[in-house]
Formats: sequence, structure tokens, C-alpha cells
Amino acid sequence: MKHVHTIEEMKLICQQFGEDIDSEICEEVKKSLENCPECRIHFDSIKKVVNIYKSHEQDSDIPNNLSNRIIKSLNLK
Amino acid sequence: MDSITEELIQLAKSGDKKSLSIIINVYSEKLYGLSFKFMRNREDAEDVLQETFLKMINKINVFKGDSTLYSWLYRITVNTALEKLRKHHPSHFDVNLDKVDYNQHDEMPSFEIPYLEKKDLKDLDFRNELNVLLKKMNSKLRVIFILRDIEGNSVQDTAKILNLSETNVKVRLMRARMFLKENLTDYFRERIVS
Repeated sequence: MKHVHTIEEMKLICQQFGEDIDSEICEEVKKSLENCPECRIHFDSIKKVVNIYKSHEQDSDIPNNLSNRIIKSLNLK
Repeated sequence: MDSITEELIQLAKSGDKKSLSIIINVYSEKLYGLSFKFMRNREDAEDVLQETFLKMINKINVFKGDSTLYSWLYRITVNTALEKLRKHHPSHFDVNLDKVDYNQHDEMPSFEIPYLEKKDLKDLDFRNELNVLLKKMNSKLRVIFILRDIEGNSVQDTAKILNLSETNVKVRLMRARMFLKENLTDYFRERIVS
């Protein structure tokens, strides 16, 4: 049987999503939901998603001669 | 960045081409990276960068120095990217994303996204999937996710940059994270089951 959350529980979790996942307030929420394995999975998954994207978005390939092309196109040369 | 002195900024304000070029040289790579994160393709990212520096040339005389020149250019880049995204995806901006639909998330999935090693993150198929999901995400949500979670701005700063309330930033961030989490859960579930 799937675990169904009350609106209040869900609201509590949702409100924390704008916080750092590791923030004090978020840790408190997680502690209060220790008896809810699904919540733990949910929080951990969100944390993993953010970390995956942090690693993924670190490096972007910089096009060759980027500055020079812009300087030229803006007639600064 | 140390090469951007107050004297150089003053010269740039007077229209000195060499000083303006130095500023572009110093900041173009960092701002391109930011622009690319929003636009998700090279051509648009470069267009945004060019427009950003054009705005800088036209407006640097009103730059008061309340923030660093980089912060000022950072904001111009974000706003220029937003203008372009709004043109490309007007429907993304017509949707109200500032209310939470609690009924939408009334059940918790029991599937957990697996822990990934660094090498897993280099897998091309997976990287492609991550890009596809960010492109698919509503632009209004993507901008918040990039500014807050990737760039590491605080909720307060993100709200200031975008001229939104902190509550709106939090709600949109929640939606963005949920979108990615739900889609990545499906991605992993399919691979683990098949």
C-alpha cells in the first residue's frame, strides 16, 4: 500500500524546498519525518538530483575566440 | 578580475574602447557559462552575451558602483537571457507557477535515485538526458533552478535579481526540483527494471 501524506505534512515538506537541502531547518523537517521512509527517500532523491546537476553544469565549453568575436562585432577594434 | 580597476571603469564610462575591450576579455567566459546554462545552446548563449556587452557599452555611464561591475553584468546577463527566453517560449511565461498544487504530490514514490560515482556522470547518454530535461523544463523554473541551485545564489538574492518575492522563488524552485526528480526517477526506474 502506498504511503499517502496529509496536506499538512506535504505542505511542510514543500515549504522547505526553497531552503538548502542541508539547512538547519530542513534537517529538522527530515528528523521529524524519521518514521516516514518514503519521505527520507524523497529528500535524498531531491538532494541527489541537485548534486547531479551541480556536477553536470560545472564546465561549459567556451567557444574559440569568444571575446575577440564579441569585441569585433561591437566595433571596439 | 583584479585588472578591473576603478580607473579602468572610469575610462570605460568615457567610452574608451580599450578599457571596454578589457572588461569583455575578463568577463566573457564566466558570463558565457551563465548564459549557456539558461539558453542551453551555444548560438543563443553567445547572442545573449553580445547583447549584454552592448547594454554595458550603452549604460556603463550610469553604473554607480553600488555593486561590483561583475554583479552588475551578471544581472544584465540574467535579464537579457530572460528577455530572449520570453521571446522563444512565450507560453512558458503565461503559466502561473507561483501556487503549489498539494494534491499533485499526495503520494510519495518508494523509488530512490541511486548514488552516482563521478564516472557515471560522464556517461554521454546520461549527460544527454540531463540536458534534455533542463531544455524541457519551463524557462521560468529553469532560471530559478540555475540561479539558486547551480550558481548558489541565496533565495533572497535570487528574488532580488529576478524582482520576485522570496515565496515565489521558493515555490518555483520546489517545482523545478520536483520536475527533475520525477523525470530522473522515471529514467532510472526504466533502466533498472529493463
